Amino acid sequence: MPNDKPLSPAATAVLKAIADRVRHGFDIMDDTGLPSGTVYPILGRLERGNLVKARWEPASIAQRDKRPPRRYYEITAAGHRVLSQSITYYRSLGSALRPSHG
Amino acid sequence: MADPTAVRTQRRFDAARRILRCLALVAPSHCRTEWRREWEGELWQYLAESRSTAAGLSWRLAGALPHALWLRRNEWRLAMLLQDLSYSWRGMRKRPAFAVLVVGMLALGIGATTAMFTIVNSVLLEPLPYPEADRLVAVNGVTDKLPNLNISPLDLIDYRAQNGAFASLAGYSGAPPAVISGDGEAIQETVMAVTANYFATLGIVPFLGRAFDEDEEGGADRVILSYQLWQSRFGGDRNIVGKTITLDDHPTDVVGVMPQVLDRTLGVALFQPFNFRSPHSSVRTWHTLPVIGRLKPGVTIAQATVAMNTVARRLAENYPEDATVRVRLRPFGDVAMGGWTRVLFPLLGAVALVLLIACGNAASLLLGRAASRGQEVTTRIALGATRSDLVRLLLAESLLLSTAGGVLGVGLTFGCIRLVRGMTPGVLPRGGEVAVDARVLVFAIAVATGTGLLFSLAPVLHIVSRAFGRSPNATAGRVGGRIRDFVVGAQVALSLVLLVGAGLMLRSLSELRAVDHGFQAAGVLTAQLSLPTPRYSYVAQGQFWDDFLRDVRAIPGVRDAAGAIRLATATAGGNGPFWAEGHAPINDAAAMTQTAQRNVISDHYFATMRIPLLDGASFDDPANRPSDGVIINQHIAENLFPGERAVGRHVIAAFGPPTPLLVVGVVGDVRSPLTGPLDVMYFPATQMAGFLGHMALTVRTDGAPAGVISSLRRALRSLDRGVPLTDIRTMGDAIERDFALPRSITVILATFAVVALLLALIGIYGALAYMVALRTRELGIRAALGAQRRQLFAMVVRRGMTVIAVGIVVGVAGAFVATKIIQGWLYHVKPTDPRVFGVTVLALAAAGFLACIGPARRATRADPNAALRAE
Repeated sequence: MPNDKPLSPAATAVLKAIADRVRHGFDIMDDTGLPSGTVYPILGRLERGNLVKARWEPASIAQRDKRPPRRYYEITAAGHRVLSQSITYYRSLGSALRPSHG
Repeated sequence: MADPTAVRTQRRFDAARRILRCLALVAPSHCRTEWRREWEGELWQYLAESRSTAAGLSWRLAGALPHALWLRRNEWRLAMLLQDLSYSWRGMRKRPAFAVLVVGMLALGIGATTAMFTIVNSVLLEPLPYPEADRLVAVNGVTDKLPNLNISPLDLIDYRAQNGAFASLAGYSGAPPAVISGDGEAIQETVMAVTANYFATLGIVPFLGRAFDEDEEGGADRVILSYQLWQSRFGGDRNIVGKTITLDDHPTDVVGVMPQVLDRTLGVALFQPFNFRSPHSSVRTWHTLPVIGRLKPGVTIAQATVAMNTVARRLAENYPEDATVRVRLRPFGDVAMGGWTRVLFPLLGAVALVLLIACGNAASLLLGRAASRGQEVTTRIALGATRSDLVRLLLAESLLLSTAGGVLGVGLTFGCIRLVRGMTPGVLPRGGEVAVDARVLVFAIAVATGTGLLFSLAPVLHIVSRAFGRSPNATAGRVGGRIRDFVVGAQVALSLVLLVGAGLMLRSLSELRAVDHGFQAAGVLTAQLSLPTPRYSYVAQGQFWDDFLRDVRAIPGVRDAAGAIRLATATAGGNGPFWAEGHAPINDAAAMTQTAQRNVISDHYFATMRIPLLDGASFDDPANRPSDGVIINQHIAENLFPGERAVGRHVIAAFGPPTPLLVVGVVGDVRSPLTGPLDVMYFPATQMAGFLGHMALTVRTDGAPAGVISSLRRALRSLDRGVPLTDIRTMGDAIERDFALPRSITVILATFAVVALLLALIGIYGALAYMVALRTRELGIRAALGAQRRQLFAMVVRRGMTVIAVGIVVGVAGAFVATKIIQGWLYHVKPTDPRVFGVTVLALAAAGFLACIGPARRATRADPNAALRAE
């Protein structure tokens, strides 16, 4: 269940990547710049919290390309909600930290 | 034609796959396959891209292990662990006898092990309680023949002046005990003579007052009190500094009081300044001072050694008669405590064996219980428990038991430590410092945890393999039985090792006691007497002893009495080189290889001690006391004058300047069991003025020596009230004190061995009883089929004795190896002594047989009817 606390910055980045249709683990790594040792546990936690759904790609595609099948991640409706909450939270943090003029 | 890129990709992928397969074991079993497939899928995709590099692959692969660990960690969530613990606790409450037994045995093992570690920690591992104790270095001289000389005072002055490595170099030396008189009883106290910078070198600040000044190093009448003496004798008087006390009848100024820490490490009552101007200190070749130095900051021992050796070489050139070739520097802690490493660590190993045996019993008990939980395990599996869940449950139980055992064990440790503190003065240095600290508690936690894991290994393996194994029921009984056999066999082997060790020590101790000392110790009482020097001139001292011995010999019950400056078994001190006339040694180093102890004796000494006079005459006859007369022992006579008569010959002895002496008599050798024959040169008290100030009294009595003590005191008091009679003990006790260390070790080892044996016997009994209980039906059937009770009995006993026999064989092999460790403690006993081994094996086999009898008897009572009914 998504809790009301915002996600960690790393988890927010991962979720955002998934929302932007970056679906596979290593691609998320490239997109966010986080190491695999960070990304995968985050994916596990997001999955447990039902913020993302994990699926294996259809076997036919893998066979066609002659490679092992890959797992891909999709954001859920709850995930969208939590993501926008987190982004709002970090944006407000950012503006609070911006140097004030005058 | 193979595409080279594709080949390389495939090779890299195979390598990555192999790594993943290994790492997959970390992940929980239920998600292992998925985890691997996901990673393989991603890695392949990466490798298929042209931009892939080996570095990139490594970077991506690096996260696989943390991911697997993260998955594993989720399996073991804290909430489930607490649930397991509460379930275990409820289970224990339902079977309290079982829990009490296991916890009790573990407490015994863990407590004893922790107590021994506490001693090791306080004595060996903890640095000495001086500031920056690792900067303290012991300095010894090295000659061609001797590796461990003290430093002579004149050399010390030169070393101090000429080296650049030490912030300070100090010397210290034991001094004759001094008598404090004045208000209160006259009491003799221990004295240490120290250079002025001794306390500063140690880093000790006086508790009151100050340390000595350098100009007091010339025999000034100054003294520093120890904390203990200040409290006990002077009532903790805060104004003691500057007061004058009477020491050996001299008025002496108190300049300071030392803090309590020195009581624990040195145990000396009084400190006086070392006298650099005495005749003893003025001979460069007399190496009398142990030296301790504090290194300058940043200087290593190696650098200091080089610096000091430069000075040593210069000294050797300037003073060739001083044979010191170089110096040897060692960390002071090692020198002070070094020998004890060889004693304490083996004892720690021995107690660990006891702990292992206790673990074996705990494992057996848990195995027994595991077998009866088959139903519970099946139910859990049916409800979805995985292997991890089962393992976690069983481990929780074991850790609960071992933690309880650990807590009780630590309590036991505190008790043991109090015992050790009480019995160690004189045996264990730093005994007063033995205390439980953080390191010991960490050790206890580690031991308790390790123990818990160890003894749960067997039942966990058993349960899990039975629950998830291929053919659960058929092999389970056999596997469980085999594990138990192994545990019992191991217990027997370990206890055999300990029993053999204890047996060897006992044999060694009896050999030590059986050694012929060369005199008759039984029926002799000894005491120490100090005559305060200003009141007693040398002549008065001689007169005193004449009067006193005459009075003592008149006491009813006293057969004979004599005085000597040292007791026959005192091995330390007073040695000087000797040689036959015309055979002078070429240098001091050669001279030091042949030394004798100097003893100054009154008349009747040999008669009192019953040392046989082999040739010539003793000093009893006043006509036989030439001014250069000496009596030597047989060993010296045979060495110097082989095959000839020694009486009438001349010998040169260099207790001071070399002096020619005339041999007037030869007596039997005096032997110390720990060091061998002592070479002694006896001089008559009447010719040796100046030595009679501190003498030992020996009295041979008709009955029990203790009966004449009050009469002795009376006789002494009637001559002089102010002379105390101290250190009164029988000769037998004095000799026993030499054995304090071997005796302590023997007692400890024997205790361990007995405990180990008891635990092992419990283990044998328990295992057999369990086996019989398990096979009640089978035994009943056998009985029904006509088996005699005799045969059932024999069957069980045979089973038990087979395991015991195997354990004994393994134990004997282990003991052959293990007893090499204690070889250094054994006197006249080989570590493979066949008698000790034989007796131990027989005793263990007999005890084991007795332990088999109970379960075997129960087997004979197996009821055939009950068995048939159950069918």
